[in-house]
Amino acid sequence: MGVNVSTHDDLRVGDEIPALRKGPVNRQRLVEWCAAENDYYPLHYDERVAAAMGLPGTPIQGTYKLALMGQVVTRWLAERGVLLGLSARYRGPNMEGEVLVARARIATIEADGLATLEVWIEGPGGERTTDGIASVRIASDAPPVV
Amino acid sequence: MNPDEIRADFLFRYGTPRSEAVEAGRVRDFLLAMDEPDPLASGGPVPSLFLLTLARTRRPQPAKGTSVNAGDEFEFIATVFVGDRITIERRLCEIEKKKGRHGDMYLLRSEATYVNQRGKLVARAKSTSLRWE
Repeated sequence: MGVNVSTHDDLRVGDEIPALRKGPVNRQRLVEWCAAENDYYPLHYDERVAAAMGLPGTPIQGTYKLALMGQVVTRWLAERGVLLGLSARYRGPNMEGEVLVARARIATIEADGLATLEVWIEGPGGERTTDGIASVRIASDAPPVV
Repeated sequence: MNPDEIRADFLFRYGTPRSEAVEAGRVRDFLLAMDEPDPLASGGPVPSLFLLTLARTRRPQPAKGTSVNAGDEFEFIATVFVGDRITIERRLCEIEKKKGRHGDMYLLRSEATYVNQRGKLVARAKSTSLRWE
């Protein structure tokens, strides 16, 4: 019989979870994401449309960054918990060709396993372009989250 | 565009509830685009964020950029499975006029519900976008 470990005893507010690095996010990926999310807004693959908006290139979809923010949390949770909610504020654009890093740190944690994480996307210069909050529930009999 | 035209365009795109099947192929496309392996068996659970792909605008699309996404928020209430049919109902909550560097723009706030074929609410979403033409 295995030993049940109280997962949340191993977690501390302020702990950063393993980051997720993606890219360079090229045009192929932007078009692939259009197909995946079933939305073909031309801003994301036609540089003439982007230039008409004053952008230096085609921007990476906000929903792709939202999905990365979810992925960094769910990869960390694996089978030990569930994602209950996720928000994102798109503060600035990321352009085609950039490498994105999704990061998160524990913001709150309750005895019953409910926790929130501050989640954000960094661009190539380390600037935060997107930030949000993830809500999760960690199972009380799960192995430690590392 | 003025608020009445924005509201009319929103109703054109989202005014009627849309019902979409959660197809294994579409979930696979989502997973591949996220660099995830494809672990789906028929009837298996799908990633919560797959819901963002439902009731989206494949066409028509504007010939030029007219809006940008400013924020998204999802609350996941129940697991969604391959084979489910999800009905999405979207509501325009607010249009707020803003002063932009290049003229007036509008902040749109909308909400959506995701209900499965058994009538169970599986998720709620809020979205914010900026629109200027």
